[in-house]
Amino acid sequence: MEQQDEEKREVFTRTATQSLPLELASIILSKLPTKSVARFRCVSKLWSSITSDPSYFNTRPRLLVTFGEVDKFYFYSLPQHNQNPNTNVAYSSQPIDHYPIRTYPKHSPFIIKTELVHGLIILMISYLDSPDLIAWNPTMRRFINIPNPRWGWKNVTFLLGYDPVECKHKLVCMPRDTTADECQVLTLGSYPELWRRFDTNHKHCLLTGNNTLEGKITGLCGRCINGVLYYHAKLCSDKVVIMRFDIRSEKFDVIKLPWGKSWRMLMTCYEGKLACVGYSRSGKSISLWVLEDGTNHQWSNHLYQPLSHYGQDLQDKFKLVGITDDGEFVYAPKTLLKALDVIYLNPKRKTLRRVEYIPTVDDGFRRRHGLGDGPLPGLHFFPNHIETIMS
Amino acid sequence: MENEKKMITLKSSDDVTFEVEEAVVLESQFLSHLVQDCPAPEHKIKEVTGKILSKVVEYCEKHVVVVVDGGDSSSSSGDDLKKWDDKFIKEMDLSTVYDLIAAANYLNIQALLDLMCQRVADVITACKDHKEIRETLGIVSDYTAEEEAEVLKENEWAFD
Repeated sequence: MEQQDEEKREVFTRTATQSLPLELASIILSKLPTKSVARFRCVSKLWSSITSDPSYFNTRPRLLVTFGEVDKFYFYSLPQHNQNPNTNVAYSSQPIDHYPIRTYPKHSPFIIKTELVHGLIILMISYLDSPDLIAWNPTMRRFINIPNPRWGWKNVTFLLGYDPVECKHKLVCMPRDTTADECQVLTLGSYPELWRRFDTNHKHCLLTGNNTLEGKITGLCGRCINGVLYYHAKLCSDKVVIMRFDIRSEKFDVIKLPWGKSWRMLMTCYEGKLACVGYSRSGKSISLWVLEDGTNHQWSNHLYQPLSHYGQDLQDKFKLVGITDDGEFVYAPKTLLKALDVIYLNPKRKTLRRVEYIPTVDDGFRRRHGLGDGPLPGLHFFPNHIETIMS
Repeated sequence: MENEKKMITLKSSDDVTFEVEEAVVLESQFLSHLVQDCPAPEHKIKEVTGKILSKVVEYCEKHVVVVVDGGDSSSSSGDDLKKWDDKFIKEMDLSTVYDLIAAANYLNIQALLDLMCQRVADVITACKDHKEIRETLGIVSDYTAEEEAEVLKENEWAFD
């Protein structure tokens, strides 16, 4: 084996008249699925060095799609960047990574507990009456056990944050449905990995669940932007606010909301800032509130035409799931039958592109995986997924 | 609007000449600046050989025609163009692809650069492991046996 390799090496040196132009390698690598990049790292030191820069992966946010139920779970990692900025319709033929997850022991139901934050997501697997927390890195297909919170509050909510300075994830655990002034925090990957309990200095009740534009509440909570975790909460005065938790300094602050009582808005990130999207009072336009200055509670407001403006039927089939770094609103299908279509709408520039992702969950795929022919259960979309191969 | 088409001559490093319409030249950012700044009838491109320049011209001519015709039947011409692109890259060996990448980069033709880089990316994606990538792209490994074992272990998740 070793000898054979040596021989081949000789042949290459003599016959390879030309090699890949190095300065253009990063363009080529940016078009590869992460799995191929990892294989590429094993090719040579020179090639590995190009991909070792941690910032390399941060430049290519993707759209993560998960579906499934009980012990069978699938995920797709799809390119979301704008390949053809001048065309309204684009079809992606890029390879897409997908694989089923099977839990152990068999048929242990598990649920997604947090939003996807910097390439990690927290799952809870419950079997034999004892739930287990697991950190899942979809890119590396890695599952890491996390200790359960030390102080057993009856009902809890988990929020995941990421500190980009120290490159650390922190998991926050808060009591659910009760007003409290304490929380527990665990720094992932610390040694020993221990939950710490401390005072938040602000008595508040966390409002569980993130909203969608349709007013529905998802089971997930909070939004992490640039090392700060935001979530909706109710103060003792019954006032609804957004709480701000700085992941690094572990300090809590209150941000006042400029709009009325309603907190039924999609919390997302817009141009690196916290943004809340909802319908305007008349219901005829989309209202985007952007937090310009957190300390002074300064928000800016922008009104845009809703998706129905671009096609009456679109509004019925698609829902807003987030905003890309390029300021494109990501509309994902409400149900997934066969083709996976996603709409990227830039309301400022009034450009719309509809991307059909191939391969799709066609009849063959459904048959092979015993998925039946109805809408796929447990459908979740996570825009701006960063494929991290650091863990 | 204008019926008279302006023609421009491009000369490769090995003195092969190509007479093309100005619209074709405008597909390249580099050449459109060159043509604007210096209105000579002939332009020598020292960095690109005749063999590669003929491919570049072929690509640009095809793409410029489609854009002009695109007014009536945009979707079908878009599909046709994609088919043409597929055929264009399939017939090419890797060494020509590399040369075209360098030329597209130099002449600043973004669409051609994207197409060629995607072709290399597709070739890499089709490889089942690092050895096949080396073999296909003619890359010499500089890992020692121990180093290779280590890097393989780190990236184990990508092989299945």
